[in-house]
Amino acid sequence: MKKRFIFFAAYIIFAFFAFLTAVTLAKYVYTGNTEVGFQVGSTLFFDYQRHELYRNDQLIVGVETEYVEDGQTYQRIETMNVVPGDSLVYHFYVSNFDSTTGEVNVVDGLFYPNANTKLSLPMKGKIYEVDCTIQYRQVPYGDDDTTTPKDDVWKNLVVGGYIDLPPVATKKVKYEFKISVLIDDQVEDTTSDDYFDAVLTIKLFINAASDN
Amino acid sequence: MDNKQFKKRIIILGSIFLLLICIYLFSSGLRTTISRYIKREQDEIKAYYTSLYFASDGEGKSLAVESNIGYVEFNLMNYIGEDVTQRDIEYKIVKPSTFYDINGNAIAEQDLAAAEKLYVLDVWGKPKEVAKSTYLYTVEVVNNTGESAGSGNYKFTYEKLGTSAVGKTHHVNLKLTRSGGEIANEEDVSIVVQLEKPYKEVFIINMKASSRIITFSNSTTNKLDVPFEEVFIQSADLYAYFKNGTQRTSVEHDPFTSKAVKLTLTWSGFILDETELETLHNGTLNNPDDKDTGSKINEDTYYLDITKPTIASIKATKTSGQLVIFVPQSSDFSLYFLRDPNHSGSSYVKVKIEIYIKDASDSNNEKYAIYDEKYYGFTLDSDKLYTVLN
Repeated sequence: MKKRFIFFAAYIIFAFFAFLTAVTLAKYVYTGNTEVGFQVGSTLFFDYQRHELYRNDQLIVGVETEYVEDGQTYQRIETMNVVPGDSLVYHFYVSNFDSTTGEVNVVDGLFYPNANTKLSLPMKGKIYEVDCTIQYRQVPYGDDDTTTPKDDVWKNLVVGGYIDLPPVATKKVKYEFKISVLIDDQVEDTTSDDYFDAVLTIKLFINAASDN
Repeated sequence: MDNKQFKKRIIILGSIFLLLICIYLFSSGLRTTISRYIKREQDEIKAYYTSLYFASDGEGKSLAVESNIGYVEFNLMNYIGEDVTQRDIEYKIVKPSTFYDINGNAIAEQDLAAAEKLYVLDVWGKPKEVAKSTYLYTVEVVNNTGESAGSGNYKFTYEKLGTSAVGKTHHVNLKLTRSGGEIANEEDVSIVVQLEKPYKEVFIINMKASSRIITFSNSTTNKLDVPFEEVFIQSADLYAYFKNGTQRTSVEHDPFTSKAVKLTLTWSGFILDETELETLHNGTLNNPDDKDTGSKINEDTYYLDITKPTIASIKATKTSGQLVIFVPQSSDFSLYFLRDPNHSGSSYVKVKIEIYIKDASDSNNEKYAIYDEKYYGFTLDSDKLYTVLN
């Protein structure tokens, strides 16, 4: 009897953990998809829109190009004519719907933009990691949004600070972001000769995940 | 199994079951293990730096200083060779308000004279050396053919031209006024061009200031990618008098005259660019004492009324030669020499400098005299020659 009891208890524990594992894995399996692999994000959606690029508070027009990285093609904006001491500010929008395509977000989620900036000085043979700041504010999502202020104060995006991405059914939202880069004391050991063929690259990643 | 044992087992089973429920509920609360959908967007902004091309042809020039005032002319350009700056350049030329030591520490005005070296700071705070005497000179722009940007600033305005831009030149005439007493023959001075746009930068032009009636300096310049040694020659506005009206005399009180200075340049190991001589003196050499026009100038005669440097004679082989040239007052010109890399022996350009003076004891006796220390001139070698270039 004692032995049976021990086996029974062990079976209950084992069965429980098998159940827990199956439940966890099931969250990453789209049972309706017959293709190899699985899709992610099919109901999590956000719309990224490029906006304006400023150099020293003056609007400049960048050239839209593409580049290939790890077999994938990505979009890029290129601008010329930057000089040491220039500040660059890039604005963009993130919303939980796309009024053009009609796609909307249907799950509760969070998103987090992240940017890293590098200054490459080939004459000096160095690449500098340059600081940049990201600020954001909520803006009206359309003409019919009369409650969201048009000119709200900017908030600093802290590291690890996620922003709410609600389903459209709950709330339509649109956020404006600005990435600011000002290279100043960060490159103290450079001279004007080092800036021949120099390139400043801002890489922007917007990561979003659903709550459950 | 008795009752007691049965109850015990039920309690154990119940506890295990409760524990498993708690584990399940706890794991439900861990967001990172239950996020199901993820999405990522990626973008990139690439900003290419434009290069600053800013140049001057004033490096190495000399200026004659009389009564502590000297004038110098040079060009500033927004291009170097084929490369043109593709932004506006705004600059001003003034005496720096602050000088620094090599560590970037500001030097108080009263300590400038004692300082070993002087520096100005660029936009990155890096010290750039300037000539020691720079602090003694105030700079005033007498004339600048460039576009004025107000507040003493001048501007090269960016004009797009195809994939490049329009290269522009500003001709600048500066007046330098020295404080702190008379110049002792010769000293180095730096002109500091302070750029405001496209970013703050300093551009230093080193020159030589001299109280002598004729000055020599040199620098290397590129002509069609070939490096030439450019010899600058500048003469005072007045040979016979200082600007304050005082007669210029020798140590033994022989008065100077206004007549042209005679230079006899000899060189070895260099090739004189004779095509440039045509910009100095192109045409027939007239000797007013000789009725036969077109003949050579008599090297022993003099010219009062020449207004530009006049070549008397030139004899040149491939890498050596002699040039005799008369230089009137207010002259400012250059000679170009190409160094011969295959020349064996020493390479040099030397000059015999003769000024036309009157004898203090006999005013009717006028003659050429070697411009040495007796006339507050140059320290010469044993051959009474001054080495301009080697």
